[in-house]
Formats: sequence, structure tokens, C-alpha cells
Amino acid sequence: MKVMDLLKIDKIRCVTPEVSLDKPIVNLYSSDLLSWVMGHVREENTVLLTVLNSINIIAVAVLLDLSAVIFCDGVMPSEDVIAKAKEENIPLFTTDISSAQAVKVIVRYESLL
Amino acid sequence: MIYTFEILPMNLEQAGYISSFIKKLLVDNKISKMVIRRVSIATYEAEINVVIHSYGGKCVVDYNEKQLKIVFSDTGPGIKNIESAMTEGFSTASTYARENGFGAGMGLPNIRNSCDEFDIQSSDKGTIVTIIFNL
Repeated sequence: MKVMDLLKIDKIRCVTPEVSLDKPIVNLYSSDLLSWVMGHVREENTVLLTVLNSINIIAVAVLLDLSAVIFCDGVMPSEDVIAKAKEENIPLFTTDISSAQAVKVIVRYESLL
Repeated sequence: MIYTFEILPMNLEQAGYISSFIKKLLVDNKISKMVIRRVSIATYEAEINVVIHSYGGKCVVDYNEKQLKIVFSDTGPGIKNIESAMTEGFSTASTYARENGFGAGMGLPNIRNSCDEFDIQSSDKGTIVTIIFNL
């Protein structure tokens, strides 16, 4: 599954259309604690699901080679977060559903591929 | 090669700058992805620690093809109990830091678990964290 496949899931919207969506999705990880993300994400091209709207998410995404970040529960990333994501080529998505529900819809979609 | 950086207190926007610089340096020198991952984790956590806990400090990166040594030093207030600070889940982070996703109490444990050599010295004058990676 690739990041661009997230566009086909109607509950998930892309907020950085300028950024390439060509990276693969190797794994999913959900957390709102950055040190937890740093310490536990093992694979590059992991997608992070979070409600943490902070510029530091982008630094973590770059350092861990995350393939995308999905902001859940209706959280919309702020302008500075979006600007930094574009600069660093990290695709951002937003969804009104929870991170757990988002994992479910992504896994269900992937099983159909 | 030696690179020196200044770290400003409470400047979360800049946090990640040094770790990103080091990552790019290692990528350019074709260091293995596994090592780069460990270096990224340790340097980001150490950088964040200086930003959210100290009055400011600096970072000195000493790179050669065999070894990467990074020293983070700050001007206080120091760590009262290093043993507690090294315990997973223990945190003294401020509300501001917690609101930005920090304060999980995983910073120093993540650093120690990621590097090949680790040293920490602290007094009320400041803290010095030294991390070494064999390349």
C-alpha cells in the first residue's frame, strides 16, 4: 500500500496536496507522546496517527523517515506545521475519526488491494 | 570535523535542527540506516532535553569515519536525581513541554538505549551529556 492510496479512503483527507504521495506504507503507529514515537517506531515508511498538533511532529517524521502523518479526531494541523511539512516533504492527512478507527479503515482498505 | 551549535531554551520551533543536521551528515557519508536511526533518536532527545529543561546550552559534534561523539552541555539548573531521570516514565517536564508532546519520561532512557557509550554529569551549574557511536 502506498501513501497515495489513503486518498481513496473517504474519511481521510490530504492537507498537503503539493507533497509527493509516492512512499510506501510499511506500518502504522499511533501515539501522542513524541519520545514514545522516537523510541518505538522501528521501520522507516511508518505512518503516524496522532492528535498532537505540534511543529515537532515534523522533526520526528523527518528523523524516523515516516511516510505520512494522519491527524485524528478532527485535529487540523496548524499553518506552521503544514508549512514545515511541505518544506520537508512529509505528507499530512486529517480525519474526523479516532486513531483506532483510522487504523481499522486503513487495514480494511489494504485487505481489499 | 567538529561542528558547534547553540541551543536556545524553550525554542521548540528550532528543536530538531541539530539532529536533522547530523542525520544529513551521516546520510551523505553513507552510514548504515540502522546507525542513522539510533543517532537520530539519541540526538533528538538530547537536543529536546536542553530546549525544554535548561537555561540554554550548546552541542559539539565531533565526527570522523570511525566514531561520532556528541556532547550536549547546558548552563543549568541541573538534574537533582540522575537515577530517577534515567528511569522510564519519570519526568519533570513543564506543562508547555507536555502540551507539545514531550514529558513521557523516555528521553534519557531512549538516549542511553540508542548509543554505544553514554555519560551524564550534572550539578546546579549545568548538565553535560556525552554520547558516542562507533561507525
